[in-house]
Amino acid sequence: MFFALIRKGYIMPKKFRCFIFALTLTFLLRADIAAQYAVASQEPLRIGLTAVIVEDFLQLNRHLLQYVGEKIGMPVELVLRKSYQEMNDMLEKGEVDVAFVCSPPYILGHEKFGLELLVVPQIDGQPLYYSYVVVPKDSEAKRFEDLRGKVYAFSDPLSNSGKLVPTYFLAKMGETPETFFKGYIYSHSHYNSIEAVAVGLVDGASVDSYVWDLADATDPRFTKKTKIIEKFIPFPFTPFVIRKEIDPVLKERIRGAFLNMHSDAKGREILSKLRIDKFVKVPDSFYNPVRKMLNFVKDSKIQEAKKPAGPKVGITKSPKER
Amino acid sequence: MLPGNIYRRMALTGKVSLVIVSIIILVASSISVFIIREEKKLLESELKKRGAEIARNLSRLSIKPVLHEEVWGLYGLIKEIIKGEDPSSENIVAYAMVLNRKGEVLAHSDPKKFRVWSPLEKNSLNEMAMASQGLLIQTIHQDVEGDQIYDVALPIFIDNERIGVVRVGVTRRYVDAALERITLNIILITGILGLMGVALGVILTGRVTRPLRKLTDFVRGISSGRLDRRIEISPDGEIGQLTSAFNQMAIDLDKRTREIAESERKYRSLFDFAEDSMMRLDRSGKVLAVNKREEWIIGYHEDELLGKELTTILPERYWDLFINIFRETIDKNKKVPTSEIEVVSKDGRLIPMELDLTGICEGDRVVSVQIHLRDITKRKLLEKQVEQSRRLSDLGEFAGGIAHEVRNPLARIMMGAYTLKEAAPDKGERARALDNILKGVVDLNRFVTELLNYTGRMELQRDKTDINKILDSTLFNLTEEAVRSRVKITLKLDPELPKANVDGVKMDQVFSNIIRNAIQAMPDGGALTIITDYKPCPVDMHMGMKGKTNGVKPGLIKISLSDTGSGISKKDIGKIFNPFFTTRAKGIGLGLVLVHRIVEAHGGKIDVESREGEGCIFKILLPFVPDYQYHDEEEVKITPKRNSERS
Ligand SMILES: Nc1ncnc2c1ncn2[C@@H]1O[C@H](COP(=O)(O)OP(=O)(O)OP(=O)(O)O)[C@@H](O)[C@H]1O
Ligand SMILES: [Mg+2]
Repeated sequence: MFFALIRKGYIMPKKFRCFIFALTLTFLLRADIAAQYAVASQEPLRIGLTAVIVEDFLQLNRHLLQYVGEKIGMPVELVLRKSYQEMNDMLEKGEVDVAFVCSPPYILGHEKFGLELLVVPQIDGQPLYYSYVVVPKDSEAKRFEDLRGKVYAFSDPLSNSGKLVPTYFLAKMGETPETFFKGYIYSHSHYNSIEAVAVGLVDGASVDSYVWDLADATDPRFTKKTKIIEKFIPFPFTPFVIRKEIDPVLKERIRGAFLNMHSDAKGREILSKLRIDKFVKVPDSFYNPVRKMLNFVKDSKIQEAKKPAGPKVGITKSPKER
Repeated sequence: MLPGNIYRRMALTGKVSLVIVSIIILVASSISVFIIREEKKLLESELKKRGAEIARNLSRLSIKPVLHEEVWGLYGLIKEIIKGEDPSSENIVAYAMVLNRKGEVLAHSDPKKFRVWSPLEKNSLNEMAMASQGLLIQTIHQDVEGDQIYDVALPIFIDNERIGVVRVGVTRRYVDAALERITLNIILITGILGLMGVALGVILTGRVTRPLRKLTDFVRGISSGRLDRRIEISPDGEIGQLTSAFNQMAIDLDKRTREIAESERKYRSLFDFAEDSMMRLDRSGKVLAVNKREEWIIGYHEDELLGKELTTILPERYWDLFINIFRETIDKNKKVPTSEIEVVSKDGRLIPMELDLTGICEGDRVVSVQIHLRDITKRKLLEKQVEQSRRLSDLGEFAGGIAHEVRNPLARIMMGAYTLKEAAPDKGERARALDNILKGVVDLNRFVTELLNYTGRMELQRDKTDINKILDSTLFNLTEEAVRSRVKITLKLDPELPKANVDGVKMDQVFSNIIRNAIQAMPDGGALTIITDYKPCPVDMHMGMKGKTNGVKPGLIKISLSDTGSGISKKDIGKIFNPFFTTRAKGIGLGLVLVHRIVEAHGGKIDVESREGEGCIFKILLPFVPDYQYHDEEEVKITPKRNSERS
């Protein structure tokens, strides 16, 4: 019944389609790699990606991971999840070895179960990026503050640029998303947020500058219907993280594969398509600014929670009660 | 439909075709109304079913996202429904939305207009949809594009708790388009059937109408005069009866037409060979018919006068008269007394004629006028001659009186002049004067004598006389003159010429005058031929005559005298018998007058024929009546007298 409906085209959430597509690809990929390393018959390296950042550039990312797999001589299994929270849960349980997660999930995972940094992409000479505030092209809003009382889109509850940064700035203004906006939604992807703004579903959204720029360069269908009214100061870029339990030799081999990508032609091609200069290694302290923001928001939330009941983490927020 | 009179005037083919086409259209339209209605019901229920199916799927997939207010996820679901997987298929979904339990929009296919967490406009439709406990289909009559829309509302339940409502709008556009297509097809098929119906009508009626058309042609032939044709009898049935009836009609018509033509011919010959010239005029005065007599007398052929007015042959001075008579006849059908007119013949002569008009009626109305023209040339001539004779005799008596009175004084003048001449024998001036007086008196005496001859009472001393002998003696007396003018005289005298009862002295005067004129007309010589002849009269002239005739029948003695002189011009020829008409310087113009009188006194007739420059011929006819043993004296006098009057 369900598949019949899919074929008819009545119901087919894009997310589902991508999800099924990604799964199919994963199986195919595994089969390829399995054939290649049939003699080794090792356990594959499982690399997790979330919808938040990669969904719409899956093909590019698949190339990247395949490249890494070839470099380290191991089959690679791609694991896709919708949210950072799910990805972090899987990392904690050992169901994923390496993952591309945002800085807040890394910080939380580092604290909780010793999640380690692997590498971080360097964009335009710096492993930094911005959080854009994006509004429809015809919007009258000129600053983030103008969006008071409007409907807003965040990408993922644990996203830095898509949630933490705007929440931090609201907290500094003594506001929370619940008090500031009429309501907000989670789009689960920066790309979706751009679309939500473009079609007028929401009045504004916080979007990862890397995603917006990449989308604007490769497929400007939605970006051209939006405009950036606010660029919040640069933050440390989203890192690849690795489970603490992974064999250190393998850890270094994987890291090496990433770090040396820019020194061979195939790697450079993939990097340039992803608009990444190269991968670099950074210390944990590199993410201290994010930690500070997290703590600031957490403190203000605790203060707020003392009055009414605080929002639950992990599920989409309900809009402000009216 | 068609107005009755147009239908009645249509040919059979048209009528049959029309009926067939009407039946086809009637049947087709009633069937198609049924089909379209059924199809419409079917398509509508199909559409509603599809709308319901979509709404059911959307509501099933919306349970979780609605519970979690996953706006983005719901928007994704709606987007997919709107977009449809297959772009070529007709997208029946006009809009789709998911509402939360408060009736606020969680996701709408038009997110710009229907903002997230905004309530819908308050109206009965939205309230009904919100209140629905199960599937509710409402009809929206207007949307932006003017198509009808079915609004399918379906509540979302989780464990019997209403958490929201799914609404899908499906447009009727494709139903209407499909119905239009079906209607079009039906019209097309009906059209084709209609054409076939027309063809069938033409073929069917062709069978029926072909003999009828033949009949029509036949009747047309009859109207244009082709009566000899017959139609082949077609097989029995109404047409067969009709055909034979038509044939019989043609035969009868033919017979009747021949009869009419025959009577027409009879009438025509009566008309043509009547004594009078006859013409038939229509009411406007145009010539309808002309008889043969007219052609002979006036000279115009019938074709030349048909359609013309009578003024063609009428001198202008008679037009008013004729028009008056014509009006009287045509308007009042009055018989107008005969009038005398003149008619211009084709060669330009004026012919005196009597005119009579007779109206020819159809009922009370005069439809045409018959014109009778009687030639009265002869009568006119006679009248003229009588008038002339009367005038001449008046003049003669008067002149005779003068002559008588003049003669005695003349004799005395002559005597006196003569005596004076004898008494004065010198040849001086006086003698010359006396000679002149004498010469004048002699001339005057001759004039007076001639005048007396002319005017004097013509007393004939008839005796049995040989005309030939008289001619001989006359010629003898004129020999000198003839020789002088070098005129050769030829005589062809009939030796059997009977002795006529004429005045010999007077006849000598006749011949000598004619011969002298002839010699005078040939001053440079020529030939004079004199012929005598006898012509017995036709048999019927014996009627009333009995007794012996000594073998000689009554008849005419003919004396003709022809010369090769100057001849007489056409304009003069009618005047030569008039007194004092002369072309000669020394002539008096009484010679031929005397000739005419003498011949007439004898009951004879004189004619002249001449051609200018070639000479002329005088013909004298004298009646000859042999000696009879008369029973009655009166008859003797009457017969010759009549003759003389006639000529
Ligand atoms: N044989 C003829 N040929 C030509 N013209 C003739 C002839 N006979 C008569 N005429 C014409 O007829 C006219 C009349 O003739 P008619 O004898 O009556 O008179 P006349 O000869 O002129 O005069 P008179 O009284 O002396 O005879 C003539 O003047 C002449 O013109
Ligand atoms: Mg004479």
